[in-house]
Amino acid sequence: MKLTAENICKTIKDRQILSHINLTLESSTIYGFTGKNGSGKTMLFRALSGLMNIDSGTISWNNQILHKDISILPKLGLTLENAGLYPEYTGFQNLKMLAQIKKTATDRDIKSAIQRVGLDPDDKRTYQKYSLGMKQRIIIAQAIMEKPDIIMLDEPGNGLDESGIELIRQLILEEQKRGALILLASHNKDDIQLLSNHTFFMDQGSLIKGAIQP
Amino acid sequence: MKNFIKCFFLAALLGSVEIFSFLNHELCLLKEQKGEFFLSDVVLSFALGAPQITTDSLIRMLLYMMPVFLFQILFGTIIYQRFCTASVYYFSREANRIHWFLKQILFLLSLSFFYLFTILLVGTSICSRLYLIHTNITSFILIFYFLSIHSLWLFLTTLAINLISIKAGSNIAFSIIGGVQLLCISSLILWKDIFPLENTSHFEIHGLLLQINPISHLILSWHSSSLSNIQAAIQDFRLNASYSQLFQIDFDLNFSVLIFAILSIFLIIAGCRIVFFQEFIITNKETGGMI
Repeated sequence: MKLTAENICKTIKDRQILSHINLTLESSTIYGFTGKNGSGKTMLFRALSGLMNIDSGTISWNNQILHKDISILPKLGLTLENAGLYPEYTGFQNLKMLAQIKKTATDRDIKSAIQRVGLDPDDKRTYQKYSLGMKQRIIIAQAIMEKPDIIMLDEPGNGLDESGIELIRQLILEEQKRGALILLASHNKDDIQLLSNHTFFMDQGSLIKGAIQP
Repeated sequence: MKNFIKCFFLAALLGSVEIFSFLNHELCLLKEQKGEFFLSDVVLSFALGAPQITTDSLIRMLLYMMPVFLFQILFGTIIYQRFCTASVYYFSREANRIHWFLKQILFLLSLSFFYLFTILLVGTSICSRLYLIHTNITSFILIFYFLSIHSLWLFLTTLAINLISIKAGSNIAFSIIGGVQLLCISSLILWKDIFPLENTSHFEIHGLLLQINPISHLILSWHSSSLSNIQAAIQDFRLNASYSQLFQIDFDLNFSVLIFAILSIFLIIAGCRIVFFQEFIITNKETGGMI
């Protein structure tokens, strides 16, 4: 299974946020993306996931072109920086509502995903009462609960303590073994070096391969 | 469910407060004038009574509108907040944004109706303990019109706040919609001297101009109906509850329902476009980060 991006460009308000991006990404591989704040990592994930239209170029999954043959990537698990869940529901309730869209994850899958990120699936606290680290963990749980083919993790270590970071690293390696194609954006050099099979450096919307060697 | 529970408690409280504070005065006056009153009188009292165009009356109208403002504060960003989440986690699973948005519309419409129904139910129940209220078919027809017109107003103003919030943030949204409502209420004073409705040959044109002000459509006692029993109930209420002034404004009840329904449809279409084309909200503008 392959995700390809050919010459994708995106401009927002006269600022080029993605500039001639070319990528060929394959399953069972972890791709690390690093770069300064505002370099375009999150925007790249938005474009690749289909949440954001691109001005030019094509994105395709297994030769199906995004926004033409398919509207969104079919089996995607995504976390993006600064995007939360519904504050008035518990973690489990939030994930259950999302699972009901595609109906591929059972309650057992949801609880298992929550446990894998180190949280209690029976926690009655609502999302708005979670700490930052807990919020980050439950968002990662929603990304993996449906056993997706593609996982995009944008700064997964945000707000996590050392044990949390270690847990998430382990989880990422398990997902890679399962066969998922994983895109990992992180400022944490250790994450990129320890986990990535290939690395990319982003700068002002452009992609440079292999700036940090694994 | 949590939102409906929250809505219920607020509506129950406001229904009680309205009966004991503002409406008690109106209803006492009615009782003095008529000796008895009907459920239709209670409904017309809830529908902003029979206000005169004076400063005191308009200030009292602001207080009558408090339940509307509180609902808007409570639910004015609910679709906006949900969009912040849905724009990533829902739409990465389901491309049909319109379907998601229409579900939110149904939710908000149900909530608006439920809120007003509860206010009316609680207020009327308390009122029936204090006074003997007669019921008839006219009263139930008026309840239908009250719930239709006022629910639609509540729905479309709250939806407008949500949609403006998605584009520009909630502080701007509340300012605009709150400001428009306050302007509409305060501008009614123009119909005292500038566009008078009495002792003038232009009262028909002035009456038509008044229809441009959406707040005027919320005042059921300013309406008329082709149904004679409804017309009689409204006239009777106006005669007894309206202290001195009597206006021949005569908005058609069905016309008010239609106007608000059209405005709602327009806003829903605008909302569909906004949700479809708004690719993302970079950060939620309220807290600057994760909700």
